[in-house]
Amino acid sequence: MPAIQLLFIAGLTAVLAGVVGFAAVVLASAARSGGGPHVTSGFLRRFARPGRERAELHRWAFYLHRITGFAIFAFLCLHILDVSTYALSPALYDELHGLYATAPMRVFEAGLLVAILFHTLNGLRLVAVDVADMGIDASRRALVAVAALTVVLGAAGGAVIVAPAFA
Amino acid sequence: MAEVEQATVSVRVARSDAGAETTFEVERFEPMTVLDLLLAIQREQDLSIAFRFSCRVGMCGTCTVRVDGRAALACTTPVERDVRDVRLEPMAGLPVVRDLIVDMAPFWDEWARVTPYLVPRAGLDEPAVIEPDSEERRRIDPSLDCITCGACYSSCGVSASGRDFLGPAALTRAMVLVADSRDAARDERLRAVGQSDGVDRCRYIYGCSAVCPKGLDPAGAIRALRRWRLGGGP
Repeated sequence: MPAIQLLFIAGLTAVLAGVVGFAAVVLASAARSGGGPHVTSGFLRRFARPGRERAELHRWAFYLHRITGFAIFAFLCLHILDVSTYALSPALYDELHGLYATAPMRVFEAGLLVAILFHTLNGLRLVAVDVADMGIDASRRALVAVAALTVVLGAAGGAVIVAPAFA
Repeated sequence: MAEVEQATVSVRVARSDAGAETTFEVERFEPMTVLDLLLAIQREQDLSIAFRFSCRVGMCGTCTVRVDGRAALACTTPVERDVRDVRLEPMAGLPVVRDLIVDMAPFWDEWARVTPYLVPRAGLDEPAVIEPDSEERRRIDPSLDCITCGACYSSCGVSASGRDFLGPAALTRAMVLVADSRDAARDERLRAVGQSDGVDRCRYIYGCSAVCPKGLDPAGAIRALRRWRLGGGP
């Protein structure tokens, strides 16, 4: 494997390790705060009821928004570096970007798409909360729509991204 | 599915003394609240367990604890028939004094920063009245019943994680006073809530509105303040 590809894989590994570490920090902080990531029988019982009890969804969306935001930013930093190789040498750029056509990278890209979709749509939901003065129930319905759109668009886009590797 | 009544409830209590017992089996009776559990433990099993309570009817806001991770008044939170285990912890984001007792000072410090009392405008007729059917009254009334129990503060992902933030209770109080046409400190309060640790720090987790035992909507008050600080008021 060319050195530039090894270097990229090392960078990507660092990005993924950073994301896992950041997620651990977010969840550890969440464990100390109210609500917290406690999936207990009491939580599940409350969650089974409609209404305000399901507002806990917003808390989990907050955690996920932070984690996906960090993941996107961390990969963006790496991506700026990898596209910058074109300035050094177009051949080096092509060699490095050959990696993007491999099956593992395509799976990673599909995951990145899901992260971008959730972060974007949830960000728009938060803007809409202010603009449209959305209360707790309206915001929860919007969040369900965000989750559904993320799954549908992520599955469709992910299939398009991953399919060539298995064709 | 029919509820299965449990003979006992297993209660796990966060204790500040590392050697103190944390799990208790409490005989259930009906109807039973979380405060009943704590009192039963204190009477029958461990005198040293520490918690606060006063009115027992959800008025004083003294007995707030986290029940299965969620802030609630112990005196009004029922232990349902099919509940086998309950986890009790002190409020989040506040220093623990002992067991379930927290130091509310950080909460009151934030509360004080919004000048939480009416500053009368000069030249008002006495008594200065806001008509019961006015738009102003409709705006103020739903947020007047805060008992400063701190449940919203504890369930806010920002306040409870120790970030600088006025917090949902103080912001709700600020909204009530900013909306009050008799008040002379509107600009001062709008400046306070518009600072970096004010309304913009809210992430719309809605934990505050979800747990408020009086049914208030601090997230709605924060949204109103976000609009008003741009336009100078309601």
